[in-house]
Order: sequence, then C-alpha cells, then structure tokens
Amino acid sequence: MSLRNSYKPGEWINRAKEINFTFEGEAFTAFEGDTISSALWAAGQKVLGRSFKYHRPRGVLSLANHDVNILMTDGTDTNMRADVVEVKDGMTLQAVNTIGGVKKDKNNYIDSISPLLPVGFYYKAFHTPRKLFPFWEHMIRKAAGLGIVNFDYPRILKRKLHTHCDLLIIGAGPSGLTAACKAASAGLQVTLIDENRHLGGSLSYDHGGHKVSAEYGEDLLKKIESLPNITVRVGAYAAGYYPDHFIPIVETGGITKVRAKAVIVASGAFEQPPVFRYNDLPGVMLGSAAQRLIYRYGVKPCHNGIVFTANDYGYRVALDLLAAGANVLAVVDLRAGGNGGLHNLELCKRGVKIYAGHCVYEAVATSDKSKVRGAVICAYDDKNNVALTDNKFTVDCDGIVMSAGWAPAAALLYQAGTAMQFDYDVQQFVPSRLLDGIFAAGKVNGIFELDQRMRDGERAANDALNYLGKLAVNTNAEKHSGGAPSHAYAMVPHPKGKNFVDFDEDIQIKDFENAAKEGFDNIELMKRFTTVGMGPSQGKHSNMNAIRILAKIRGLPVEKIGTTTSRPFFHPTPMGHLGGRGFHPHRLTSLHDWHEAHGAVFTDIGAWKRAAYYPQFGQTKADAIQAEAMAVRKSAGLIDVSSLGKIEVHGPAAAEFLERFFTGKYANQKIGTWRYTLLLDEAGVVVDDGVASRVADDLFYLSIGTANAAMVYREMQRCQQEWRLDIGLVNVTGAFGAINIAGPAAREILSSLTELDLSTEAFPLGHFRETTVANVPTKVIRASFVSDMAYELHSPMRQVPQLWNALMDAGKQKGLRAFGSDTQRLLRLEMGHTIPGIDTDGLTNPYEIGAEWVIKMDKPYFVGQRSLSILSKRPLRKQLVAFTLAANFKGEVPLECNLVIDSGEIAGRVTSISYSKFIDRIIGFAYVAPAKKAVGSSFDIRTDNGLLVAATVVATPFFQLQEA
Amino acid sequence: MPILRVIDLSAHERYGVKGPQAAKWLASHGVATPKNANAWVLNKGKTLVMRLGTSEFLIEDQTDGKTCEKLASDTKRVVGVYKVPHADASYLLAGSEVLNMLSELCSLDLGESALAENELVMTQLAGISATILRQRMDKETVYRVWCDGTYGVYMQHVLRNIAVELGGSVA
Repeated sequence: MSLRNSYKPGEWINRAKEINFTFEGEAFTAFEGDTISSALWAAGQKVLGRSFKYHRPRGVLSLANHDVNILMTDGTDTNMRADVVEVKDGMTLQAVNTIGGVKKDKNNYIDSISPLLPVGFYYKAFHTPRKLFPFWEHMIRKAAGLGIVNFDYPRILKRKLHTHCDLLIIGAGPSGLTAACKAASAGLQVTLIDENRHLGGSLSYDHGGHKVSAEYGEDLLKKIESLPNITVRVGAYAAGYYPDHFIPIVETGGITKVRAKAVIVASGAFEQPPVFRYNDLPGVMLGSAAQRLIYRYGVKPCHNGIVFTANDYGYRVALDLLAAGANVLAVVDLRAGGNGGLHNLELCKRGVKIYAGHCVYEAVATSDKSKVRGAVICAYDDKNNVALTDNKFTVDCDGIVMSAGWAPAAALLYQAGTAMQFDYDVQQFVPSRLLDGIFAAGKVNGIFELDQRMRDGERAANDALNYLGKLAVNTNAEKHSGGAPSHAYAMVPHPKGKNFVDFDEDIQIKDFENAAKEGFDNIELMKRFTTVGMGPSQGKHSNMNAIRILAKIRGLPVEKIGTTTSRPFFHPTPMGHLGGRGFHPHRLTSLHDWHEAHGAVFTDIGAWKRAAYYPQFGQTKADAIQAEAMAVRKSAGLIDVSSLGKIEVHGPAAAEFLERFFTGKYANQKIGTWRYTLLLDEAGVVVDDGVASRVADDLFYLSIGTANAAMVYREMQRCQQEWRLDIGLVNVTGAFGAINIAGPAAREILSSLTELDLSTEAFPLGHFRETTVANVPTKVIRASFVSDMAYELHSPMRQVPQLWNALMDAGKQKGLRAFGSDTQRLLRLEMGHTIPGIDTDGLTNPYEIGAEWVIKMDKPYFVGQRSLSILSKRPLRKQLVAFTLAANFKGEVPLECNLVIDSGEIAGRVTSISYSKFIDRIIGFAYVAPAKKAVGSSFDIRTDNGLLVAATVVATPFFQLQEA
Repeated sequence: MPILRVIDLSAHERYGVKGPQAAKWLASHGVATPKNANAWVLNKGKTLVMRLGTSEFLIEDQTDGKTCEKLASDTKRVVGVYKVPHADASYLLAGSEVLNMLSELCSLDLGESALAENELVMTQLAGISATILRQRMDKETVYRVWCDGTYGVYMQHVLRNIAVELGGSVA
C-alpha cells in the first residue's frame, strides 16, 4: 500500500516529474527529488538493506546519512547512501552485502548463529589449528565488506579548488541561517554550507504539527537570497578541520578547500536511538527520520504507529505523524513524569494515549521477520533501568518512531582542538573552550529551543564580527531550561538481547558488557574490541550511547569516560575526490627533444626527466649501457648533466660560508680551481657532495647533485638566515645547463671548438676556466667523475643545444656518442666513486665511506662537526668497500640491497653492483664489518634466491683489476 | 569577454639582480624600482620591474622595451650587486574563468580584494614555485605568471589542459 501523501508546502520533490527505476529487479516510480529510500518507502518497500554482520533486514533509521542501513549499488558505483542520494531515471539498483537480494539474502542464517559470533570472535576463534587459518581467512575476507569495487569505474576528473572567505558557516539550519544573515549584513564575505540539498536544516521538517518553524525558515531564506555577499553551497559537507581554519568542502563534483578568517560551526546534532530489543526492524525509525519523510518527501512513515520517546521531542514527532495522516496509537514516554508540555495536551485532546513511565520492551516482527508489526509495552523503572514486564501488553502497529535525544555533531570542533564538557542540563557534551576564530551555535552548542537557536546564531555572528575587528554588540542566548533534550540512559535491558546500539556493526548492549568483563573497559579499548563507531557512520548514531553504557558499567559519570578521537573525514569521501587532477611536476633540460629524437629511454631523477640510455635497434638495456660505457672508455662520450644543481655564492664572506657549510677548506682555495664538497647534516650524516669552483675572491660556483639540489639551496638559505654573513646566494640551476664530455678523445674533440689551452700543463685536473666553446660562453671544469679525461661544460640553458650539436659534429669522426645516466652510474663505479643516496643512506657518516680526507676538523665550525667529534671516538660498525666477484663468475648475480652475510648473520649490504664489460668483471660497493675491509678479504652476499656468492675486497679504481 | 586565454610570453627579455645594493644599482641605470617588497611597477609602459622579497629584482621588457639589453651590457661586478641569470617560462592568463583556473592551481586568494594591483606573490602554482601578479591591461584584468624555464613544458601542458577544459584557448 502506498505511503505517499499529498502535496505539502516546502517539500523537496517535484511531483510534475516522474522517475522510473528498478530495485532488485522490481520496477518503481518516484518523483524528481526523491531519494532512493524515500521513493522505496513511499511504495511500501520496507526491507531496503541487510546489516553488515548478521545480515538482519534493515529499513530507514535516520534518513540523514547518520547510519548505513541502506547501501546500494547501481552497477557502476557502490555503497551509495540511499537515504540521501537522489534517485535518477533509469537507475538499476541492488542492495549491497546480500546474496540473492534483500528479501531472500542467503546469508540471513548468520543472524540465527549470532550467539557464536559475538564481538571479538575474530580474535579468539581462528588462530588454532594454525593450518586452518588460511581457510578461515579466505572465508572471512569473502564475507566481510559491503559493496564490491568496480575496477571499470570510469576515470572522472574531480577538480580540487581553493576558495577564501571572511566567515565560513557550517550548517544552514536556524542557527546557521541567522548567523549568515547577521554577518553578511555587517559586510562580511560569508560562505554558508549545508550537506543537505536545500537550506533550512530542521526548519524544513521539525514542525511539531504547526507552521511556525516553516515560516521562520521562509523568512530566513528570503533574507539569505537578498544578501549578495553570501555564497551558498548545498549538498556540501565540511570534511574536516585543519589548522588555521582550512576546511575541505566535499560536493559531488569535487573538493573545494576553504580558507576562512573565522568559522561558525552550526552543524546541529545527531538524533540518538533508544535501545530496545529488535529496535532495528524495518519500520522502527528515529523521530527526525519520520519528520524528514513527511515534510521533505511527502511520505507517511507508517499507517499505524507508536511513538517511543524519552524526551519532549517525541511529542512533536507524534503531532507531525498526525499531520501526515498516520494513526498514532500511543506515545510511550520512558520518563516517569512524562511531559511534552503543550504538545502533550494537544495529543491528549486528539485522543492519543500517553503512557508515561513506560517503555517499548521489544518490537514484534512479522512472521518472516522482515518488518515490525507490533510493540510490546510495559512499565519502566527509569531510576533503576528496569523494565517491569509483569503487565506488559502488545499493540499492533506498522511503525515505531523513536526519540531519546541527541549527540552534538561536533567532529569539526574536536578536530579544531575545542575543549568539550558534559552539560547535565542538556545531557550532552558542549564546547567549553573554543580556539580563536572558531564559534559554535545551536544544538551543537547545547541550545535547543528554536528561538534560542536563532539567538545563538546571532550571538555567534556577533562574536565572529568582533573577532574580525568589526564592532558588534555582544548578545547571548538563554541556557536551556526544562527537561533535558536527551535522556541520560534510554536503554531497555532484555534477557534475549538483540537491542542494538550500533546499527552499522550489529553491536548490542551485551557486547559492551562482555567486553568490559574481558577487561576492555576503557573507551578506546572498548571501541576497538567491540568496533562501536568504527563502521561507515563512524559512531554518529552510536558513540554517545556507547559512552553512556560504559559509564554505567563502570559506575562513573559520563565525562570521566571521555570520547574517542574524532578524525576527518566527516563522511566517507571518494578516492577520486582526494586524487583530484594530480599534478606531477617535472623538469626538462633544453636537450630533451634531442634525447627523445635519438631514442632515449628516460628516467626520473628528482623532478628531472633524464636520458638513462639510448638503445640502438635490437639492444637490450644492459647491452646499450655497456656499449655506451665502452665508447667512453675507448673514444669519447657526451652526457647531458644539465640537471645538476648550480649555485653561485657571492660576496666577501663567500669562502667563510663554504667553510661553515661543507666539511672541507675553501678559504685558501685558489681562483681557477675547484675542490670537492661534502655536506653533512647536524647529526653528521652524509647528505650530498659536489664541487666548488672558485671564480673570484668573492665568487664560488657550486655544482651539486641533481636529486638534492633544491634541498641544499634551501638549507643554504636557512643557514644564511642564521649566520647573516655578507654573501648573496643565487640558484642558477635552471638558468644554466651542463654537458660532460669524457673519454680518451675528449680533449681533442673539445679543443677543436675552443681557443682555451686544454693541455695538462695549462689546465690540469682540479682546475676551472671560463671561456667560449662553439661561440657559447662556457665554464669548464676539469673533473674526473666518469673518466680521467673529462670536462664538465656549463653554459646558459638556452645555448646548450648549440654547444651539444657542435660537440657531436666535432666528435663524429672519433666515434663520439651520447651516453645516459644509467651508463654514468656504471662509469663512475668503474672509477671507484661513490654517490650519496645510493652508496649512503640516512644514517651513513663520512667515516663509513672512507671520506676522512675531506673532513677538516681543525676548522672552528662546520655543519655536523660536533656530531663527528662524537662519532670519531666510537668504533666503526660498518665500512664501505669496493668488491669484485670471481673472474668469469657464472650464476645468479647479486643485486643492490642484497645482504652481506657473515656466519649466518647480517653484516652489511650491497649498495652498487654491475658487470663492467671494459673490466670484464662484476664490480660493486658494499658495507661490510670493519674487520673485513682489508683488500683481499672475502665475504658472502646472499642473492634474492638465497644463494651465497663469494666477493673479494679490492682497491679502486677497478681498472687495476685489468692490469692484474 | 573571452572565457580563458593562456598566452606564452617566455620569449620576452628578462634580467635579474639581487643584493643589498641592487636597488641603488638599478636606479643608477635609470630603472625605477618599487618601494615595497613583493611589489611591481611598470617603467614608461615598457618595462616591468618586480621586487621579489626585499632585495631581489626581476625586470622584464614588454614589447619595445630595451632595458634588459642595456642592463646586461654592464658586466662590471659591483659589491653587493649579484646578477641572477634567468631562463624563465612566462604566461599571461586572462578571461572570465581565470580565477576559476587559478583556484585549482594555487591555494592563495588572488582576487582583487586580496591581491592589490602592484602587489605580487611568490607561491606555488600547480606544485611548482611561481611568481604571480595581477595587472590591468587594455581595461582587462590579466594575471602574469613566471616559473623556472625547465618547468615550462610541464606548466604549459597544465595551463593548456585546464584552459581547454574550461572552454578557453592557448597561444
């Protein structure tokens, strides 16, 4: 029988537009604006989902995204929250977590064996016998989870945007709307957000059978529309609070990150269910859910209903049920004195029976257990929490609407560091100390009367205005008076249980009692053992009740139990939203097009795309690298090293800066020479290395490693802020490119393009010159990283291609070819040179890599010196050595990071290893125990397959092996 | 007003200098500099002079400007004046959706109320360091962006993709 009502003003549906969709193969109609749940409920479909663990039939509980009773898939998307997702024409829907559909779920037998599956059973049941564990693991993994991931889900870009405002107001109920009007009228740029599709919050449904709240709502909305400096975002939730009022807003289309100068949290409260046996049957729902159905979607929650309440709110709900045409058979008030004030009187006048001091002892299910068909009611001893069942009686009904109180939607306040205290007048946590720039208003602030909520919104806006330097009058809302909006303990015990506290996780009262008996009686332990609040709703409808239960078990006041940590996100947020567009910055040298045109295979080094090697037709990577290396050894090779960090240090104190920054000495360095630089951190750990060329008395040109260049420059700036020397630092990494020409023919090739005298006498190793090469202004460094005969050429980035092409032309006859960074690694290995970050790690100190020669401890100060003075007194625990495998080695070749094994114990690891065709040996570096560092010592390396391979320590450079 | 235009101005001549005496040195060459840090001025309508922080300057010749060439011809080293070679990528962004584009690329508020004319910011754009300023040009509000030239291909790719998505054009 349809539960659709006739038109109501303010409803969210468009009756002029009909929607057709299917649910588990059955056709349904809806109106535009219906959610999936409201449409199905209107059609009389009550079983809409199955619970996670016990597969119990479930229907509408909150209709507010505070529970996950109803999760659906449309074949493309999954875990769709049917309570709040609009139904669309043509949708084909299935509930998740069933086998065979909601009505005939094959897993519903699990409910009957639920006594065998209490909370914590995972931890106890399956660990023995151990050989069966893989079986159980497979079974549980299959059974666990809700929706099934669709690996063909379309890739939809969800942009992530930034926006700014003076005041962000979270929640557009009466408090939020009032605050927005007040703040905007005073000139602030206001952003007002609400997770619902329309503004108004409870003004759109909490009517209590009258029009007052609707009228307030209309007035406020008109005012909001008239203020151009209010930006409204509906269907938008604040996902979390981050420092300095940074709040991501999540909408269907993506995330907008809002940076506000001040924030008002007017997010309201989550209605909490009273707990009684079978309170999870379809047809049992929260009072506010019933109101939402009535006023937003024009749907009657039930035909004949019982209202079970523990506060005055239930009486308003009863009046709304009557307004919707439902029969209200009784109002059952848990409180001995009942109340409800004027609403009580009105209900009595309309013939509704009020049972004060009574409870719903249990809901009665239909024979197929798919929905509620009655309520067992009995007297209740509120003081001692005892149901007095002697004179219990049953009332037939098709709906139980329940109301016991509220928990503040205070997640963002907690995340913002707000101190909360328990207020016994309202029986909820309220803010006691807010951080600067954050304000709370309305129900989240413990204010419940409608007019006071609006006053509280105005008060919050005034506070925000004052905070932002705009004068405003300080106003206050009145504190709550009368009965508490929330009941202290609305939980009816039942010997047979099935009185649910957390509907996501199927957790009953006895689960808490058992957990406490096992010692999990602290809120954090209780949470993790029972999993209360760990389901998709994250405790919105259950955490407060859990705290109350634990307080009762331990005989402590609620505030002594505390709350668990609230973390973002407020609702589950799609991964696609978090991914956004995805920016992957990368840097290209001015030779990139040349490398690409010549078949380079690229690799990422830091942010740079570097040519790693250039495979000729049919060559494997290994072949290409060996061929390039041989070219360098036999004739000459050219590599683009434009990614090297390049920093100029200017000024009278330039040498002093280098003396402090690096381990070596530079004060006495001659102009026109370069010296090796080694950078440590304050712990004495090797960070980076490079060369410092002295261009003038007051100018050094530094060349540093690619991967660390940005970090080193930042560190230089940081040190300079502290040291305040008379220097200027200029990062020219992007302005200059660099080329290395290396090999026996390098000098000859280069000399054809420059007038600079390249003879050893005029330009020895360790020297630096400025000249022109191929008409390009060039700094030339005579270095020997990959070869004894090599020149590093630095020129303006835009002119590097001209230089490169000229060298290529000049070297053609000599067999000059390009080589890449992978080849460079082999070549430097052959030379016996280590690379920080490859041959060192986050703990390596210079003594472990034999760098004592560059540590000048007699300087007054350098970064890391203090730590080295301590480290130098300690025995070394490992030493980097050069090694080789046996000549003509055959077998599985060890890899980088394979372990060095000594007498069955780990004694070190391989950091670099490669076959060298030029030397015809497998060579590498490894850390070994200091006792094994002597040339000629042997040690074992364990390969990936567990084989032990013998290695021998040798001297570097490895070329000596050839001579041997 | 067009939706969105992205124009590559990387080819403009640029000159950089920093140091405690940089402002004085520029003045001696007839280049007026902004008084405040993170600000810019337009010299004779032809040369953009940007003060990056307190003591660094980036000068860019607009069409017909010759200042950079003149400054570059003075190669004498002066105490307290450090030349900063530039190989920047540079873009002009304009159109009704320019702030929409920038809101995805930058976390700062670049609107008129937050970024005054003659102010510039050094920030992150699409994950890389960039200098941004807002300018009125031919009665239109435009945004100028500079970044390290080695990121130029990446930046152009990002700007082009977003511009096209939003219905704009790239030149």
